[in-house]
Amino acid sequence: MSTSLNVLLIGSPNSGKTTLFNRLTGLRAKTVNYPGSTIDLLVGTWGDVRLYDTPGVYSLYPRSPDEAITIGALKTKDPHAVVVVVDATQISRQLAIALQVKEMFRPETEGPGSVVVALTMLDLLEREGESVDLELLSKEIGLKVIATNTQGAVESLRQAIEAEKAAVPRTTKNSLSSTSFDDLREAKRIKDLVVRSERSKEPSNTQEGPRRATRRLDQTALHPILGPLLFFAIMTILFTFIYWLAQPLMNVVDVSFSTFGEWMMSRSWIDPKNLFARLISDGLIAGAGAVLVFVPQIFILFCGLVFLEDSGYLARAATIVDRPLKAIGLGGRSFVPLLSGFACAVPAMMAARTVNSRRERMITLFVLPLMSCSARLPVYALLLGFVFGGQSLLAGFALGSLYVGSLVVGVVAASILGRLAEKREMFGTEKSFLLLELPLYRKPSVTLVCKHALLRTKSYIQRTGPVILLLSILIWAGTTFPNFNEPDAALRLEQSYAGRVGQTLSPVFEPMGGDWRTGLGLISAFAAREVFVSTMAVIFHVTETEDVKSQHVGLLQQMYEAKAPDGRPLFTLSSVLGLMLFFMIALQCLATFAVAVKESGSTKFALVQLVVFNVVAYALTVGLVQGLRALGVQ
Amino acid sequence: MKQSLIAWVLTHSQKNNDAKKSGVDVRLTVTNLDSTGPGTVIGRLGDLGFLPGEEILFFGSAPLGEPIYICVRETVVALRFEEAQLVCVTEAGGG
Repeated sequence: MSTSLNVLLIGSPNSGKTTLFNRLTGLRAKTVNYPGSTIDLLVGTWGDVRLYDTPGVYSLYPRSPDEAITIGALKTKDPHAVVVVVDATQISRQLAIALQVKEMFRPETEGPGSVVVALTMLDLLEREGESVDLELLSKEIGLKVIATNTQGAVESLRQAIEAEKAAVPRTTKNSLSSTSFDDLREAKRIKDLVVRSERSKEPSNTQEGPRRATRRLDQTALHPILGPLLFFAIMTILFTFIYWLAQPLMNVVDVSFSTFGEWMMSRSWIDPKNLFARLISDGLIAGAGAVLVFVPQIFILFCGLVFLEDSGYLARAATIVDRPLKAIGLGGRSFVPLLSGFACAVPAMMAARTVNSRRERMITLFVLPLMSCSARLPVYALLLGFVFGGQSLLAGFALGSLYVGSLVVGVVAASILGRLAEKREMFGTEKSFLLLELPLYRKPSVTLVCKHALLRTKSYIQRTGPVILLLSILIWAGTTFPNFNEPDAALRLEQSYAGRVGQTLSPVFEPMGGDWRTGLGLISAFAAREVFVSTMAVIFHVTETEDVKSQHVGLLQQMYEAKAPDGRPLFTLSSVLGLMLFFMIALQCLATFAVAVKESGSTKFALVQLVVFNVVAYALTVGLVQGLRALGVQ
Repeated sequence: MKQSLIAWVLTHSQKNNDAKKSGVDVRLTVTNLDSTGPGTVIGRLGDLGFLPGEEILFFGSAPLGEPIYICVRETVVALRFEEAQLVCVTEAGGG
């Protein structure tokens, strides 16, 4: 169906804007411009209406990059109408935005208004024992007002927008004559007129109003001792879900893709030696697998974040960690991006757009790749398996230490960059601010949480998929050519372009306790860190037909037996600990690099980040390996 | 007496604790915003409702003392000390 009307949804954060958007579009939406958590400009279709959901704003005077997206959309998307979403429990503040939109986005000549107010959360207001005189509100503000909780609300909204088809053309002014403070005073005046207390009726003393319930819950959530305990408990549950719940699903994806590749190559009509068939099997299918294997984790992370965000807890968590983060040059607003970084740095960097200070945002972007993303897990699993064998308790403890270690390195890096930025006035001199609104607690809708998480996951795949796929194909070509007809996979790899690069760079890898083979594994890990494991499997002749678990065991056996050119064991305690340290710090993910260029707006910044992390990782690894060897630890 | 919000919080911690225990809200009135502060922060404070004459409630502090929680126009807002420094207040009904 062709779309003929552009309509923008504008409103404060937590005004119920996205919920209304989902209701109208049925979540048939895609992200445009910037995907992330609360920073998307979403576009969906609602009949013949192209509906845009914009990031939340407190006024039409942008004070952070995500707010600038909303005001930019008002000016560049040529909307036929604007729906301003106003939370009925917050009329005295949020109505100011409607007043500003009304002034900024007005008909060129006198004609029907092009701004509609959608009033949400009326049920919460009713539970407070209050109600809104909709007719009076509409009269006072001079705009059509629609209560979204009523039967036929969607139809009324539809009719109000439809009326715009016949309306006169509109222009968007570049600036407002009033200040946001004038509009706030006017909003309060209107609120005092239209919101009526019905407390005298006292309908149900048994039902606690949402404000009182929020206050009561906050006595625990923001308590000096209980608050941090609750915070750690919630984060533990979230991480448990991210790793343990996702693991079986990730295995299913992993096995499905490898099985599919093998199945395809075993078809009688396919010549396994055919280069094109190998490109499809080892390049495209394996590359798609590399993208999709993390989808379960990303989806669970997004489910968790959306759930916490919708419930109202995420803002509280951000205030709890603000003080410690402030000490290292970050702040509460960096918390969500940093948390997301434990799943994947790519969506995490996109989420950093909500950080209002440029300096704080750049420091967040800089340290994000240090958060132990899920792509490191398969590598850690292999290397910890080497060190601890079957001692899973010790391996689990060591894995926890690696996570804590990555946090410590992140803290150190943020502190150093924060001080440098302060001293040299890097990334602007603008001070960061918190000023975070704590919304009322609400019970999130499971369906909406899942749908929204699905949408964000889809956006992640769309953004990162092509980059990772392309890199996977390039790495495949580098490890396949020029001797693509060589039947021995290990020999083919050794003689490949990538293998030659590895051998040329062998003197670089030797101080790390490795040789060209580990070097080749590290080079291939630039496509995606976990590719290190599969490259090792190919190098050390582990047959591809074995299942994942036995491939792992087989690879470990080969690693125990592998010899360096001088006859000494290639993988020793010191070299494996060195590899773990390297993976903990190095920025090997080129998809992250690409996103860092875009989000920082500076190729230089991303290049410095790439060089600094890899050089520091290399230097520390060499230091650790050589230090351990000097102490007699092989 | 007019003073910055953060100065008020720091000098009235005992009174605040007593009020919290007895479940009484401590009411303050915003007199003005310190216009020498950063424009973006002043603007956002205003957007959130910290305007001259506005009545606000002190709800408490985060575990490490900062940020502080203030209820303004029926919304709880978390402010760092630097931000609270820009809000000048008197106790409602005198002070």
